[in-house]
Amino acid sequence: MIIKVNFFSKPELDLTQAIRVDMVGLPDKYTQADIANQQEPQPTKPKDLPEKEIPQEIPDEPIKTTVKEPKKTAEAKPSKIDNDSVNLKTAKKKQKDAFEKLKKLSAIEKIRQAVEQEKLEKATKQNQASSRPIKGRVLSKGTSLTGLDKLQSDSYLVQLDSKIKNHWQLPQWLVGKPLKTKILVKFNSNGTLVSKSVYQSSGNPTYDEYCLRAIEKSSPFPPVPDKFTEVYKEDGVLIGFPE
Amino acid sequence: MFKIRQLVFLTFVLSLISQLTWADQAYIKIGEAQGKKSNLAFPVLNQINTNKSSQNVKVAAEIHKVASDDLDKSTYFKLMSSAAFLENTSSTSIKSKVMDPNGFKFDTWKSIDTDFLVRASFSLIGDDIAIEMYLYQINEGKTVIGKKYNGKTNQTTQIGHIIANDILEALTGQRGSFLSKIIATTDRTGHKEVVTMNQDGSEQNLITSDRSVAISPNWSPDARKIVYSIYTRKVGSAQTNLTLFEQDLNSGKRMIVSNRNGLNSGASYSPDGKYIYLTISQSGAPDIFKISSKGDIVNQLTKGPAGAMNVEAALAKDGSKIAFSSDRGGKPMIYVMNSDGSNVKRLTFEGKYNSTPSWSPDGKKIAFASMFENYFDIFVMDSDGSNIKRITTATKSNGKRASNEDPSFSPDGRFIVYSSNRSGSFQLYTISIDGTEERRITNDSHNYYKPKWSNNLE
Repeated sequence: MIIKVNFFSKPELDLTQAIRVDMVGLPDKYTQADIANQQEPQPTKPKDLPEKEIPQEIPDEPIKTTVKEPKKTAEAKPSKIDNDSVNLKTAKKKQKDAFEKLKKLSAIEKIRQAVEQEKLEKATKQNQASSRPIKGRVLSKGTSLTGLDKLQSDSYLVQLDSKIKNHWQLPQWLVGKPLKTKILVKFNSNGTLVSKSVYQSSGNPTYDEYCLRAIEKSSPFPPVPDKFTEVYKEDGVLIGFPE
Repeated sequence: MFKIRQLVFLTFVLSLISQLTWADQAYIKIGEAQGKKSNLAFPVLNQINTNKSSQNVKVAAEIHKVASDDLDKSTYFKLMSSAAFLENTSSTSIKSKVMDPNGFKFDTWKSIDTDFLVRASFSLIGDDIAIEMYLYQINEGKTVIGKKYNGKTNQTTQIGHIIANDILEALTGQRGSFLSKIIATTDRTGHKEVVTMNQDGSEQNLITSDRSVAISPNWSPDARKIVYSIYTRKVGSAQTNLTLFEQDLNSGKRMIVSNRNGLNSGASYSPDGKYIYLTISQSGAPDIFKISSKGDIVNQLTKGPAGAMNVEAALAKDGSKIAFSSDRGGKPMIYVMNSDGSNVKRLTFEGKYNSTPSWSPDGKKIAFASMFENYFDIFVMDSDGSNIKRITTATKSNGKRASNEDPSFSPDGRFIVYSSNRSGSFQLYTISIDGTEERRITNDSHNYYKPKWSNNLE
């Protein structure tokens, strides 16, 4: 099984961020009012965000840490008796600490993304509200993923792969024939199919049909982690039968 | 962790490779599909005659049984039990509702997970059978084929096989082997005689009655003639010879093709039936020769080296290559050469004793028998000697390993017939080339050896 995910970590995307030019269209003509509109929401966002997002994320952390701390103290007592176990336990502590740090980091990353997303949503909402799309200044969210996101997305695609593989069946006379079909699937955050289409036909309609049937039987897909919903709904996932 | 790192690395490498093609696109390679037996519904034939006499029902049932048994044996299908059918197939027409107001509904069959449906009507007037048959793909709601058959009541088996072959060809592009035959030798008379039978072991027919030892029979491409070798003694001579005969199966007439000193055996026809490749040992060591159907030597294809034996010439279906066994390297192994004797290549290097090569009809695979401790098993390899797979393994009732010998490919290339002594005597079995679906086709306590499968005979 080979999973190929290549919409992540593209150096070009970093460049666009540095240059800050929207390649889609040139900036529209801005009036003072437009600029004011753009600036206005910004002070309101920080106010909204702590209420909406942080309460969801932050409680998770304290709960985890408070649960783990008592454990550590409980473990610390027997450690006095045995010297060997002290080393083990300190090592475990270190591991746990490191693990928690990682978790916190990812949580922070989540929050940061949530904030950015909210900003974007607000901006686009404002734009829609003023019925005047502002081009040029607004950076598209992009699909570049790095670090933990990338791993999480990979692991989602692994789940998806194994689910479809379970339903990938052919009549025996078509097994091993040199036929290749690519299907493009798009799906919602809850994993329900939005669309499935033959992106590249094998030339054998029956084979294509069996590929589509495998997708059909595998849906709904596993629920999509929030941060990827847009990617999978808009760009979709290309599935190669068999490659 | 290692897996993740590996994955990340792969991801990175693959993304570089195909960045241009699949820029910004999540992409999964699903891999090879699992083969699944397709659910096939094949209700009994609809009687068209208003007079549904017991004779009508009986003849229709015979044809239905032959065809559905064949489809079952093809290993492609799981035949659905008629108890699962949701509609009364005798009251619905053999066509779909789209074509006929009284027709069946695709959805009814879809709801019980039918992949394919065969519907056929039957009429019998006097001795004349008329059948109309349709094959439907249920999920797509389409007709795959529709055919009409006419025949006599003594042709029910043949009609059944032809229906099955038509269905197989429509779906897979290849006809089955149901109308082919198998030739072998048997000791059931107390001597070793040549016997022919249908591919399922039925209708056995003793060809020879020489009360001698007949060995290595084989078919001509059209299966009208056969060749075999018999131990004979020239009048006034003490020496026995293994003499090659050719026999016309229709007339029963036979003639001696080669009676040179020593072996004249292991014969195999050229695809046009004009030449015979065989082992001749007149000059001492057994070597492979090409002779005309009259017996004149056209070409000596092997020569030793150093007195080595070269036997069991098996001609590829296109006639371009010959597989054979030879002990020129020490132990008997499988070799291949061009049919003019050039370009000899050794294919097998393992095992104590490798023998009796047989080509798949497409020339891509070679089956052979290989001996271990004291028993043989059947193996299949690619025709370049790679990818060797053992396809048989069986034990006798005493727990010892049975011997599986003398493989021969079916004309559709999906099965192999061979001889096995697991029951106590050597009986004929067929097996699919992936080593599944093994079936015993002879059922007695005698011995059957050296089976060869004919071409398809429709």
